[in-house]
Amino acid sequence: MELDQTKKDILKEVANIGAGNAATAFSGMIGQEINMTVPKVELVEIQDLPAITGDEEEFIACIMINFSGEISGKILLVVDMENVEKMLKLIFSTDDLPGKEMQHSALNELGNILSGAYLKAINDFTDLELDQSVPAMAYDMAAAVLSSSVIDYSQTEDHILLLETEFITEEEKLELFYFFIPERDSLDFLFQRLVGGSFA
Amino acid sequence: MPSLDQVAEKLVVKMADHAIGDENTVLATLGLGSCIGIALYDKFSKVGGLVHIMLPENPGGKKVVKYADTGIPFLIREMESAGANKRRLAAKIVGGAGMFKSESGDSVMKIGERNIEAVREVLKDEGIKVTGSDVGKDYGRSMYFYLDDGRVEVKSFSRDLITI
Repeated sequence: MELDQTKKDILKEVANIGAGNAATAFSGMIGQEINMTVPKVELVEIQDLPAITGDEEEFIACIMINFSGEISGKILLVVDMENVEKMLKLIFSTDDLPGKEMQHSALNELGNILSGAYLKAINDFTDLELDQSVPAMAYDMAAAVLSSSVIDYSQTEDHILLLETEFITEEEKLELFYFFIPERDSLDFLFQRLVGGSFA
Repeated sequence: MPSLDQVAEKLVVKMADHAIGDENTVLATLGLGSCIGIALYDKFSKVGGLVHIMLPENPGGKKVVKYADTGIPFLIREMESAGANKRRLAAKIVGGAGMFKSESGDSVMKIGERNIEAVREVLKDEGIKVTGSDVGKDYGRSMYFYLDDGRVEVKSFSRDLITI
C-alpha cells in the first residue's frame, strides 16, 4: 500500500477530529486538562510493532476495542503500568484504589468512552456508520500484547497503518497512547467518502 | 554453564524472523504473546535455530518465516546447510498465549491455540520430537536459547524463570 500526501493529510485530519473529541471526554473523566500531540500517520512493518511504545519488555496495559460498520478496524489504548495506577487514582479521585475488578471495569469504561468519542467525531465528519465492540484487555510485556493485538490483520499484511496520538495530562504528565487502526479494505472506502464528499 | 553475559554472541530474533547459531550463541526472542518461538537443536553438532512464527498457515507467496507450516521446514533446511542433522533435531516450543480477555474473563482471540496445534502438527510431520514446551495460558514470555547445551530459559512477569 502506498500513501500519498493527500491521503496522509486526510487520515491526519480524521485522527485530529477523533482524538480531539476523545481528549475532551478523557479530560471530563479525570478532571484534568489534556494535551494532545499532533496525530501521526504511519505505515509500520509488523515486525516493528512490538517496540512502538518503547521497550519491548515493558509492562503495559492495553485496552482494545474493535469497530465495524461501513468501515472496520481497531482502537488500542496503551498505558505503562506506572501511569495506569496514576490514571486510576484520578478516575476514582482517591489514592486508596478499590479492588482489581473495579479497576478493570474502570479501564474498560475508559476504553468505551474514549473510543466512543473518537468514533462519534468520525461519524459526524464522514457520516459513516460505526459500531464498537465491548473492550478486551491485556496487561503484560509490551511486545506480547501489541503483537497479539493485530494478529488477525497480519495473515495477509506485512504492514499496519497506525493513526497515533498521545494524550498527556497537564498536571501529572500521564501519557496514554491512542492508536486507531483501520482495516486495509476499509481505507479505500474512507478515502472515497472523504475525497468525494465535502472534505476535498 | 556460561551465563548470558559470558557467551560470545546473542542474537535477538524479531517476529516473523529466524536465526541460526553455533555453541557460542544465545538466540533470544522477546515478548512472545500468541506467537510461538520454535527452538530446534542438534546436540551433537551444537547447531541451533530459532524461528518466531505469528500464524499457523501461509496463504501462499508470503514471507515463509511468519507462518508455522512454511517457517519450520525452512528453518530445518537452513540448519542442515549449517551442519545439523535433521534426524537428531529436537524441538522446544514457547508462546501461543491468549493475551486479550473480555470483562467476563474470556479469551477473545484463539490464534495462540491454533498456533500451538499447527506447530505440533508440523513438527510431527517432520518427525521432530518436542522435548520441552511452555505454551498457552494468558501471559507473555521471553525465551533465551543457549546453544552450548540446548537449554531454553523462559522469562515472564510475576512468575519464576523456568528452564526447559
